[in-house]
Amino acid sequence: MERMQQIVGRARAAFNSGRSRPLEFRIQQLKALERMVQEKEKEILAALKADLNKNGPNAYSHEILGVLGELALTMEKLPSWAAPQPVKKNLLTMRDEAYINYEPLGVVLVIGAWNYPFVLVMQPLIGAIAAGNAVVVKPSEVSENTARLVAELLPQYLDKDLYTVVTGGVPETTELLTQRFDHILYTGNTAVGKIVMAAAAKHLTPVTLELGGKSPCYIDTDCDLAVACRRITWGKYMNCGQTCIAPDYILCHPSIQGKVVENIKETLKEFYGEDVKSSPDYERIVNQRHFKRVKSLLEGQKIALGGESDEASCFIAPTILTDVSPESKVMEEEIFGPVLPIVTVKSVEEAIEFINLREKPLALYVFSNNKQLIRRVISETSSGGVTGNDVIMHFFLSTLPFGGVGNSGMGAYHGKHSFETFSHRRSCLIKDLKMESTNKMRYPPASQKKV
Amino acid sequence: NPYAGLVSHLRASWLSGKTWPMEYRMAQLEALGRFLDDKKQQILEATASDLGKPPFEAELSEIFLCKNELHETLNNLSRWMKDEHVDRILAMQRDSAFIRKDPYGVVLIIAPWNYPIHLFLVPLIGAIAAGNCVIVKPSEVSKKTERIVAEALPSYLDKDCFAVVTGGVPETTRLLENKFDYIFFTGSPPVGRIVMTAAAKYLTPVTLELGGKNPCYVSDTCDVTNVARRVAWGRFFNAGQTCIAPDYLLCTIEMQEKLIPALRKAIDDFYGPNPRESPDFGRIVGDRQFQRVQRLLCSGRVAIGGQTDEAERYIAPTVLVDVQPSDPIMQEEIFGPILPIVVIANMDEAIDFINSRERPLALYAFSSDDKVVNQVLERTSSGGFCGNDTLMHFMLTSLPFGGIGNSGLGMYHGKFSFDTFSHHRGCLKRGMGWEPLNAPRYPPYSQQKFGVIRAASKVTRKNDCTLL
Repeated sequence: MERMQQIVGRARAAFNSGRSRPLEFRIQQLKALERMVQEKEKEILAALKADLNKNGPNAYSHEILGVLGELALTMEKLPSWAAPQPVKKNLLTMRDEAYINYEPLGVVLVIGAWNYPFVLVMQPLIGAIAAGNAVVVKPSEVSENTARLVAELLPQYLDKDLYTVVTGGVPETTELLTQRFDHILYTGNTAVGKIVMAAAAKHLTPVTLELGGKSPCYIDTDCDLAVACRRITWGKYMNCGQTCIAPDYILCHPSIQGKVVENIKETLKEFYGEDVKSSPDYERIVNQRHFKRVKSLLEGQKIALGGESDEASCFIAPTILTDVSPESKVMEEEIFGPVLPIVTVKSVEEAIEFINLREKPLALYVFSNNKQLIRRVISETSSGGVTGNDVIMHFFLSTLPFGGVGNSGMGAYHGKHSFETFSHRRSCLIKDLKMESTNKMRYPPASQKKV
Repeated sequence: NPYAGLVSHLRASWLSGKTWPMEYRMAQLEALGRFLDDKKQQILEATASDLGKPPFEAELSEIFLCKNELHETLNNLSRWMKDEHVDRILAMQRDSAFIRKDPYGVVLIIAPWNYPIHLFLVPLIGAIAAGNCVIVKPSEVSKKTERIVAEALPSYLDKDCFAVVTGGVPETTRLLENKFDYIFFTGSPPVGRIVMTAAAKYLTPVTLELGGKNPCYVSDTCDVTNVARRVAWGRFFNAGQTCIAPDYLLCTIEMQEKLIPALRKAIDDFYGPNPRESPDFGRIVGDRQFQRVQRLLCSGRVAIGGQTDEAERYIAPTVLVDVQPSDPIMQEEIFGPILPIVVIANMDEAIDFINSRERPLALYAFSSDDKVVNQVLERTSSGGFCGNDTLMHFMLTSLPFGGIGNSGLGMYHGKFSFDTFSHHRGCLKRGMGWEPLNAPRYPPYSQQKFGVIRAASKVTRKNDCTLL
């Protein structure tokens, strides 16, 4: 308890010193972060390989490229984002200054996840630094190599008191959450999201919760199946299915189910070769516990493709299940593994109803040549975000807010949205002490005339 | 669960898509306008009965400001509802990228008693505009107003989508056992915590408009007469029961000596020699609240006012001096017509004093020297800030209204209300063609592909990052 209190206390004292407020300081810290990512690229890739068996080029595109992009964008745009924003005035305030001032919140807590352990800690950190806050970073202990590396590297490049890394598991995180923060950004699962929000409520701390759910993927009969399936295969099986916005399950007409399986099968050969297990580009399940969890979802299911597994190496082959019953276990929780259930539906109406009966997902995907149909699916459902005719990609456009809704989360970040999430928008109205005559109308004694 | 039926009925209505068309939302909003027009007299009478609210104040805060918000929303709704197209990176130039404003679903609005119509109606405007179904829970403390809301409001709105629930703490607690898709609460920090804890069970996002002690710093260089009038107006409006009222004043002993007579004159100009007889001065809402505020009078020394009448729940416009930071009146939000003056040596001391306390909902600084006003602004933190006046930042709908830290989270007014009650959904619509362009992202990964990605997404300070 004392240790956490000291760490947060030090961050708060550092914030109160005011040194994180000047833009030059923030940009200097971001520049240092950029140097860190560039200089320590090898070490970062090695940690990702150790934690998730992620291959070099893959890890680079998914975790490092995005971070460098976000850093460059933030450093370039920060002056314009942070500038006071004048607002429209009315007759009464014509002669006054009215604007919104972007100010830091104070001490921000960032809790990372294990599936993209570097980017999910770095991207929030970038936004929190840009907004002028002090930050406490708590990387996931499940991806322990990346956690250890982040704990080693950040103090070497950044202001030690303003930006701290705390490592540890559930007990340490629980202790940390008893402290008072000015914003908490948590990436992880729904159950823990509730615990984080309840802890935040004690201090009236605003939260951004990036959670998950079952992201549905509707494939219309009117679409280029080869292209659709290639894109879906890429998004589903990357990182061995352990992606919060992976297409979790497919909804399609029974008449195309077979073709979907065929196309995915072909694509898998193209991506990983005949023997997936020996492909250097196919990852592994992060640990035994999750391996067992995902494997158990296959019980009693019709396996159209894949199903092979090897406990020792936490390998599960890219798998497709067909004619899946909506009541089965694999349709209850977020799969977070390389298992793709197909649930057949007779129409787009049925698909929409199916989706709406369930918790709001983090992402929603719809494939069709028919623009009207895509528009309809989007407007009659709700989800954190959407990509039409592809998967995952809305994540990579930082001008789009990235976040969930309902059970999949609250709040959003990326790009300018990160800056706004970690800032307080303070309304400012500056009047003149003169011109008192215009105020006379509002003072008592009142009269009908004044009204 | 007594409210489960109601909540699921509203949720079913929302899922049916009834509230999504703009025409529907406009019609409901127009009906709200008719409610304000038809019931204006009753509202003025009810708030006069509940709070001794002067008709001028009631008309201003409960009718006029609400209608402003209504008109602003009606005028702009179609624009606000439109998909917001965003800048795209090079690789997505052929795609359509936009932010959709989706309704959340079933919204709960919990309102307090001090501006009993305004503080449910203005959030309601935003919630309806954003396409939600809404349950309104007006305060049981302002009884007559509660009755108007419970009896009259439902007949103006679509009963399938909007409902009023009445009751006190037990009823609100039971209501909070249900799953809502958004909760908007205006009230005190302790209850704010309870609401957010209840919301956490369902991961319901919240906006909490809370309160605190709003400091008012008066520098030595200022027009004392004008300062006194603006501060007095803000402090004694609604008998001090305003979340953004200047709670306490910080100034030097020299300024205090000048302010006291100026404040005395302002009070006399506003309310006459006996404010109790003025039709323009309000009353405390209830016995419990009256006793709480009355107890605070024992802090420091009464320089102006100090008279009370329990039967009428009247507390005179009062100014206290010789107030110590440890006095009872400096421990809680006053929410009554008492202005304590805390003497400080200089601006730095005032800023330190402010910063050693919870961040307030509003912060005021008075000076004819711009630099002083800016210094106070820059070196403190608060929900909102007004230089050289009180309350007025509230009246500009283009400014977001909300707290920070203990004074709240989230914001509303004008477009900010609409944004608060909408889920901003990031959408990317791509074409099925141009598939070869996607090739570098697919396995098998190779140094060559890696080279392509690296080249295509070379990141420099000036360029966009073109990812994949």
